[in-house]
Amino acid sequence: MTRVTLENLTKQFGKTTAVKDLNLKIKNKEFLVLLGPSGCGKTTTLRMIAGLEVPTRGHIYLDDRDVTYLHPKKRKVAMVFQNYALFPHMTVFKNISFPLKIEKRPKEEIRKRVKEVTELLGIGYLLDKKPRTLSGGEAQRVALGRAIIREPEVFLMDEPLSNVDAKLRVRIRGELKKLQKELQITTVYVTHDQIEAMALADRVVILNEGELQQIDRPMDLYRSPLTSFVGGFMGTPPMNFIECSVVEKNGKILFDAGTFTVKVPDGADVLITKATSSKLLLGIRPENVIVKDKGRGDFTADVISFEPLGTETMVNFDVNGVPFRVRAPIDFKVDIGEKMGVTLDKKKIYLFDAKTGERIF
Amino acid sequence: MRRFLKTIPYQLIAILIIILIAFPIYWAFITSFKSPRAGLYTTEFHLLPTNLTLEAYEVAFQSPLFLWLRNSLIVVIPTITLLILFITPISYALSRYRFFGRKSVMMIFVLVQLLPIMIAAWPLFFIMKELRLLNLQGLLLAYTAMLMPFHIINLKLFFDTIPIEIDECAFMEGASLPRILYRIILPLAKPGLGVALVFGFMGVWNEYLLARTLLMDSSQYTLSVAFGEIGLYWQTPWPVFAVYSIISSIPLLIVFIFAQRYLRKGLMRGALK
Repeated sequence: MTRVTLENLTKQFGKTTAVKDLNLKIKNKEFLVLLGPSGCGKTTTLRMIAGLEVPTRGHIYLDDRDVTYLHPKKRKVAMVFQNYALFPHMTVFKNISFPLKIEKRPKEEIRKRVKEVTELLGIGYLLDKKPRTLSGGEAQRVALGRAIIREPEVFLMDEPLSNVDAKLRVRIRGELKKLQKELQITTVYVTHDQIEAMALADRVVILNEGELQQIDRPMDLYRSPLTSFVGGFMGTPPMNFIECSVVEKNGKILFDAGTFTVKVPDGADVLITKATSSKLLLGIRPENVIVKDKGRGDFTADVISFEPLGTETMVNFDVNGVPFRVRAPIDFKVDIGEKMGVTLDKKKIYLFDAKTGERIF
Repeated sequence: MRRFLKTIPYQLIAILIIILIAFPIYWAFITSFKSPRAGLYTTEFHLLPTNLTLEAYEVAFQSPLFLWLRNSLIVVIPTITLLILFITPISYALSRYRFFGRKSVMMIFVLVQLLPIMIAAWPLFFIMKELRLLNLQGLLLAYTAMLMPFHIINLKLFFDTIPIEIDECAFMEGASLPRILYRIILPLAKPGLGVALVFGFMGVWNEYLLARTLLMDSSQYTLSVAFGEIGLYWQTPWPVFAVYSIISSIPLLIVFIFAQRYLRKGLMRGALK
C-alpha cells in the first residue's frame, strides 16, 4: 500500500560499482521484478530497499518518507530470502511468530495472527515441525508466512523460487501472483529467470552491470527492446544477432554480413544513418526465421545441432562462427552438418548499434 | 553375507585399536583393587584380578585427593565459563564483520598456537607474581587466555557455516544484536560450543606445566600437579595411584557423555555438503 521511489541510488563496494545512479518509481500495489544476470546489481538494490545495505549516494522513499538511513525494522518492509533463512532450531510456529514476539505482542494475538496467516497459505498442519523436515515448497511458504505476518507495506523477495524444483516452481509462481493481488502489497522481486519475470511482473526492470537498461511491461520488453542486451536477455532461446554493415548496391541498400547480404527492411534505411559506428547488429528472434532448402532463402548456413522439444524443434546453425537458433515445427527433419537456406522475416528485424547496443530500428 | 565378510579385516583392525586404547584403562582399573602392601613393583602378571581388596581406595581417600579434585574443579569450571563467554562475541565478530585488521588478528591467533607454552611460562610467572595472582585464580585466567585463540578460530569457522541470511532476517524483523547472537546463532552453534567445552575441559584438566609454574602453595595443587609431586617424592604404591587416575577421570567422563552428541556433529562440520 506504498509507493517506493529510488532516487539516484548508487552503491559502491570498494572500487566496484554495484548499482549506478538508479532512478525508479514503483507504484502502489505493483508487482515489480528486477531482472538481470548475476552481478547486475539487482540483489544489492533490493538489499538497499530492505535496509541491509547503506547506499553510497542517493535516496530511498516509501511514499514520501525518506528511509535511506532508517533501521530496517522501522521501514515496514519484509523480505523473503533465497535460502528461506528459517531458524532451524525453532518450530514453524515459532518461526512465523518470531517478528511478533520481538514486538512483544500479547500471546493471544500472536496465536490468532499465526492461525490466520497459516490458513491463508495452507500450512496449518506444519506448525509443530522443524524446518529441516519441510519440503522446499513448504519451507518457501513458511518463509512467506513469516513475511506476511508483519503486515509489511512492501514485500521484498530475493530469488525465492530458485531453490524449488522446476515443477513446483511453476505452481508456487502462480500462487505467489494470486497472493500478491489478494494482499495488494507493493512487491519488489529479484530474479535472473526471465520466464519467471514475464509470468509474475506488472512491470520488469532490466539491469546490467548496475545500470538500468529498460523498464516496461513484460510484453513490451519482449516486443520492443531498447538495447541489444534486453533483446538478448528476454525470450527463450534469446534473440539471434548477426554483425553486419550497410552497403549500397545497384541503388539498393543492403546489410553486408561478410558472407552474405540481406535486404534492408522497409523504412529502416533512413534510420541507419543514426548509428554512431558503421557496424550494426541485426537482431532476429528464433521464431521469426524460416528454414528452407539449400540455395533458397537469404543465406545458407550449417546445422550444428537440433533439439526436438515436443512442441517444436530447435535448430542451431552456425552463422559466421556465431550460434544462430531457429524455432522450427516439430516434424522438421534435418541432419547435423547439412546446409540449409535461412530466411528472415523482414518485418521482425531489429537493428542495434554494435558499439553502444542501442536500438536504432 | 559376502558384504559382511568383506568388512572383517576392518573390524579386526578396529578391535585391535580398541584393545590398544582400552587395555591400559582396564589395567589401571584392576590394579586399583590390588593390595597396596604387595610392593611397588611385582613380577607377577594376571590378566584377571586376584585377591580383590578395597585397601587402595582407603589409602587414597585418606590423602588430600578430594582437595586436589576440588582445586581442579575451581580452575576448570570458571575457565570454561569465561572461555565460552569471551569467544562467542569475538568469533561472531570475526565471522560476520569485515573490519580493519581482521585478517591479521586471525593470523596471530593461528601463529600463537605454534609457540610452545614453555616460552610463555617464565614471563607469565613474573606477570602473575606482580599481580599477586600466583594462585588458582591466576591459573584460571592464564588457562582462559591460553585456550582462547584456538577456540575463537574454531567457533568462527563454525559460525561461517551458518548462512548470514539468518542473521539478516532476524535483524530485519527487529531483533537486537544480543538477541540474534544468543537466541538464534548460539543455539545453532551448539556443536561448535561442544568442541570448546570438551577440548577446553580436557586441556585444562590434564595441564601440568603452567599449573606447576604458577601454583606455589601445596594446598592449591590441582590433580595433575599433585600427581607429579606424589610420583616424585612420595612412595605411592601403584594400586593407590590407579585409584587416583580413576577418580580424576570421572569428571572428564561426565563431560564427554554430556557433550558427545554435540561433539560428533562439531567434528563432522562441513563433512556433509
